[in-house]
Amino acid sequence: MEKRLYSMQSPAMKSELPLCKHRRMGRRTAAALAAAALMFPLHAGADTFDNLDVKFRGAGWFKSGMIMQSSDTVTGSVQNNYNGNWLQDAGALLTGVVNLSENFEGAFGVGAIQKHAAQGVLDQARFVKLGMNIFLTQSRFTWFPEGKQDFNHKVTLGWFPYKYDHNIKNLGLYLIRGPVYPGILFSGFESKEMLNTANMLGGHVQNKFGPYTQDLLLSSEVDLKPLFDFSFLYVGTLKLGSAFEIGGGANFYHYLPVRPGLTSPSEEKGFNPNVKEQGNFQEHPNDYLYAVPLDSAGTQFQWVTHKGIKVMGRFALDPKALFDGAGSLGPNDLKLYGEVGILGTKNYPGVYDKVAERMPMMLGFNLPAFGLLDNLSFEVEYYNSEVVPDYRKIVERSSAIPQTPYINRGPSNPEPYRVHADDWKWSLYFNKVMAGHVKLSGQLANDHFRTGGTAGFPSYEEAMTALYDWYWMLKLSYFF
Amino acid sequence: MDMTYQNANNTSFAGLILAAWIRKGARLLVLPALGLAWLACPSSPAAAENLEVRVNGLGYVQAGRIMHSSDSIDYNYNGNWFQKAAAQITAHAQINKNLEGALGIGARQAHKAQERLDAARRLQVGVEPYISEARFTYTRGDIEAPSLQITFGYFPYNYNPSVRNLGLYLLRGTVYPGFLFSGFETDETMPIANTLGARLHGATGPFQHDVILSSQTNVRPLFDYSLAYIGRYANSVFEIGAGVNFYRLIPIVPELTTPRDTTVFTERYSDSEILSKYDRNHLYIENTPTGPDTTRFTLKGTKLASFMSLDLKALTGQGAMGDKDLKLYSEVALIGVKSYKGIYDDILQRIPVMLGFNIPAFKLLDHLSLEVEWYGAPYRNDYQKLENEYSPIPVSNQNLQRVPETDSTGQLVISRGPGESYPYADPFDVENMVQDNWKWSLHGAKTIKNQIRISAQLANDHFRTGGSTNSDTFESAFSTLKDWYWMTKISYFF
Repeated sequence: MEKRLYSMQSPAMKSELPLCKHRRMGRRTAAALAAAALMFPLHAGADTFDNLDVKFRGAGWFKSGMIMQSSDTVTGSVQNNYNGNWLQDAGALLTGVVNLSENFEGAFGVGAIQKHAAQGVLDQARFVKLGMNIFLTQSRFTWFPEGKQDFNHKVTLGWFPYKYDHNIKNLGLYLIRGPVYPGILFSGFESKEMLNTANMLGGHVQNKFGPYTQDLLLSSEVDLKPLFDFSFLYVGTLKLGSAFEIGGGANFYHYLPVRPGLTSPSEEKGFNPNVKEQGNFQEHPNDYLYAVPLDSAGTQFQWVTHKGIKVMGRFALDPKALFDGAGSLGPNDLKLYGEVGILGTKNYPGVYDKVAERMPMMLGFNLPAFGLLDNLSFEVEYYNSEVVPDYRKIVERSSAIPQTPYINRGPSNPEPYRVHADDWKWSLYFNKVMAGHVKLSGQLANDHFRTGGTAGFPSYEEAMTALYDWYWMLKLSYFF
Repeated sequence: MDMTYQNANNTSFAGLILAAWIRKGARLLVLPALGLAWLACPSSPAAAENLEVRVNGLGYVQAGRIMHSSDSIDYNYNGNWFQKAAAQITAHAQINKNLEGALGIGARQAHKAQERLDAARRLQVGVEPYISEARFTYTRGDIEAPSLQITFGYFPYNYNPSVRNLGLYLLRGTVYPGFLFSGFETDETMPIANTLGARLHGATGPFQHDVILSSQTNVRPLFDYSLAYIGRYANSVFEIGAGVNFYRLIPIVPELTTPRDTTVFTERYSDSEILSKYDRNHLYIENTPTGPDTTRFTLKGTKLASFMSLDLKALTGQGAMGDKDLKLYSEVALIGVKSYKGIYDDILQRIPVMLGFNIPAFKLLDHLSLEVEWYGAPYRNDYQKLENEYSPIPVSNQNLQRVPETDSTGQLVISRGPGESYPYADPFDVENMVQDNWKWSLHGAKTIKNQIRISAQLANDHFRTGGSTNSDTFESAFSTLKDWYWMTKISYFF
């Protein structure tokens, strides 16, 4: 589908827009964006944008599934028992990709998902309502200095999708998902990182130098508090022939804070290190919000910041390339891939003591599907974390200290959350595209899926908390 | 559950997968999906090239007013102004000669009812996004008259396109209680998705068949699946059809659809406080000489409906009349084939009937449709108990704080404080309502240059305002024959 756009802004207007925004932004933010903006040839004549075409991309889907086993059924007075919970959503999205010129491309679009809270126990299930979430699929423009055809360099600004490892179907992507302190992981069935839906707000420069590709990103935080802080990411990928690929990267998470006091609380910024969450069933060092005590007398404190450095290494191996021909195997079959991350290179005594407890690792393998499926991917993950995978304190208190393992506990259920019962995660994902535009996909997994809580009681905890927990999900999509 | 960790099931992994398959609901998604996959697979990859995408858009402004609403005890809608603006965009893609899809989204600016001045002063306008369509359709045979068509996703479906407002009983509304739904250009009468699930459509000569599997997304309990069949015979003059809807045939949480858990679904009143059969939430208890006889209910039920239309122009000739003029159409339904003692024991109170007629408009309008409905349900069309308590029993006077008192003249009244009392009679007595049995609607529309549509309606139908800024409500705004409202709409579409 092609449609012509006629009402474009004048070159003068285009030049003025960034200047207007500069006045409202922090100096560092403005400087970063200005540097990126200067890379664009804004002097391009109006005729550059004549006769542009728009291609519409869209998708609609219906998804259903069920949580078959969820071990941790305790949430204090409210029983968020997800066992047997039915999950369902339907959605549609529409994105226009605008071919502005040989060097410029823009994309914008919106989508809507019909969603609901988890059912929980019967007494909660009866309050479930259907709601509608609306979202931006993309809102970006991209500059290809040497043209789009077989490009080696591109610069993207706006709200755009980014993923450094396209082999991953569920687990992993540690560099771009989740906070550093506490090191909480995110995953789930076809999360936005797995689809061509925007997950980064900021800028992205990509350069290809033969077998080496580098990605430099400046990303604004829009999911977790403190909001709007900027992070710098660098990701490098080296292809060694068609069989092997290695990569690595670093994320300087929240290194450009918008409100430094929120990102790195301190006494000078007006925070009291003694502030604790009230009402927990048992005392625990993680009751504190901004600092943890270093001695029993409570005279010395270790302040904890949201800032942190993540590093990541990854590989992918396609053994088919080592042999002559793939036979009846599909193009993705037999691929082996893996990733390891360090969530925070710095130790904080008393709360983040060992780097080994902040190292998630995953391994994936595409089982042979012989063309019957496009992908049949089994992934497994190990993360020896001491952290309760619940980010409520980040959202509600902007705290970088993990949740106490006594969260939601009471005298009748005194056993703390078993932080090592969920060290292993796994996922079996499949998809098949039919007639070029219909996709059937599904997943059985014990991953970091979060339901969001039951009606009236939002939550931030994972639904799968022990090795034998799992759920399934099926999705039928139509796309063009 | 007052425990921390549950033990893993003592079944093998394969057993768990099998359990997932067998559990209700799983097959519902998987079977149609695999069926469609089988149908889609034969298409060659080349068929996906040169994709043809057509984009349709719609924008409109709508306004109207409730001119009279008799039951103003709790919410006074008299003179309330209603206004809405919306825009939607939908893309249709023809993947190949057999496979076609559509998806789109829209947003509408809407608001609560103004109600009384105190609520009206807090009124805000909100924007609600919605999905206009998200479906794909496989067609076998001629695309104009397919022998087989399978649609999957979120799609529009209307088994009786003659209906402008009243009717469509088979797929709209609940069974126990049998609440009817209608209003000005609702999703069911417009080309906007109203069904989430799958549709199998077949045609053999003048006979057409539809099987609809739909997930409940409007009224609680959510997600339950209903299975409906609709068959029809049609020629150029006459159409007749009938159908059955096994409403909530496959419940997702059976304990919600058939509420039995007395710790969750509690009764609001003790036995000594019961004043009427509608006071209980989930039971009907009849005292018999041998002791109390208890009847329990379910939200499940079976609906039957039949419909017809007759084009009287076959008798008079076309003349200067429009294509839709002089069409007579009708629908009758049985909402719940099973009678329940005490509450739903009179089958005649579960049979709505509607008759419609397209008044000759001589092409000045596309249509001018007058519809009349009769439905003898004695209770108020208010699904608050269903929504809040999963109750299959209608609201009672006591539920609405309408327990009668005797005033100084000896009359039974509903008192709302000093100087404010209402006669304890229809329509304020919500357990014995007769004045709302008749409904009517006059709807007209005119399309100009194929891109602008003006439509309007005067009606006394089942329009629900949704409540005011004070609280949500679930009742119809009209409860006597004197009640009515008007609504107009101007749309632009391409």
